[in-house]
Amino acid sequence: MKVKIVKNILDANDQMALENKKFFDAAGVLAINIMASPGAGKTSLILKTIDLLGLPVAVIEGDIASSFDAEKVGAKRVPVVQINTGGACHLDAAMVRKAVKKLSLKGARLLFVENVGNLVCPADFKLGESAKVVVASVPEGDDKPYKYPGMFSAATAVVLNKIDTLPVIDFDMRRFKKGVHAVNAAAPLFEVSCKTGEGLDSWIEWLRKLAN
Amino acid sequence: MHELAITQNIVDIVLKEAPDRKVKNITIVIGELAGIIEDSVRFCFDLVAADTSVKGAALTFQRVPARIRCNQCDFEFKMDNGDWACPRCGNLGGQVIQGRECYVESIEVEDN
Repeated sequence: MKVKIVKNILDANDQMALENKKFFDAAGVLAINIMASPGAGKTSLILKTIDLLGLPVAVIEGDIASSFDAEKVGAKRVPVVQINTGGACHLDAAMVRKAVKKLSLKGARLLFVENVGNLVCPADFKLGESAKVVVASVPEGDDKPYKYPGMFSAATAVVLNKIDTLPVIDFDMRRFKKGVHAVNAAAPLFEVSCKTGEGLDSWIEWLRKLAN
Repeated sequence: MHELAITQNIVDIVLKEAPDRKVKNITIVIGELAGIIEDSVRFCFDLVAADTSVKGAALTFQRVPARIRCNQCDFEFKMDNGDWACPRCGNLGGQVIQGRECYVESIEVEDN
């Protein structure tokens, strides 16, 4: 006997993400899911943003193992919780729900959720965020939007980090932009260097608008 | 490579629908852009389904090709080989109108 089901495979996660979103709304905080490959500069971007934003924030750090990132954020006297996925290649809504219980969101306007370094899986798992930010970096190459269209098409905004390395790396900016635009015509692109601070002003301005 | 989580969800959905029936087949619809590898799901399924009533069920995959609507000229086309270029006007990029599907369509259970 055939039984019709038609149920989204990620439905359980989507439902929990929806609950997380309600929880964040009630707490008056906007969650931002930060995704990138390992080493693109997710943590550096969060650290620089904390310095420049001038708004109270909280941070959830996702990694397979270690608490290096949470320690760096904690040094800024910002509420932070580390999630260790123990091997899982992405955060899911249940992990965020558990982490957020350990976090003081009081007064916070933005919650940065740093996903596991990976340009594939995190794109599919909603966490309850209001915006997805994909961080790419110059040394990774200009072909990333073409190779990982799922990730770039899911982005609310794209940050291209490490532009200070442009003089020494063969990176075709036109090709990169064309690739982002092909899969996602709506997302703004911020060209920044977390090392020199170049370009961060427009990123910060975008975040402030989002928070208001 | 999140097929383990995907497969766990497939098994959970089926167990919820048919908790006390022997499941013979599960039909899963996967879009070309959903990024789910059939072989990996099959591999994970044996692990996840062990000791449940869906153990031994066959998996049928229905693949859905990706269709794009061109940003420039609105032409709708089937994506070939991951190429986002519009075959009519050459513009690179558009909206995905089909190909992200990822759901359990139906199951076949043994008659009571």
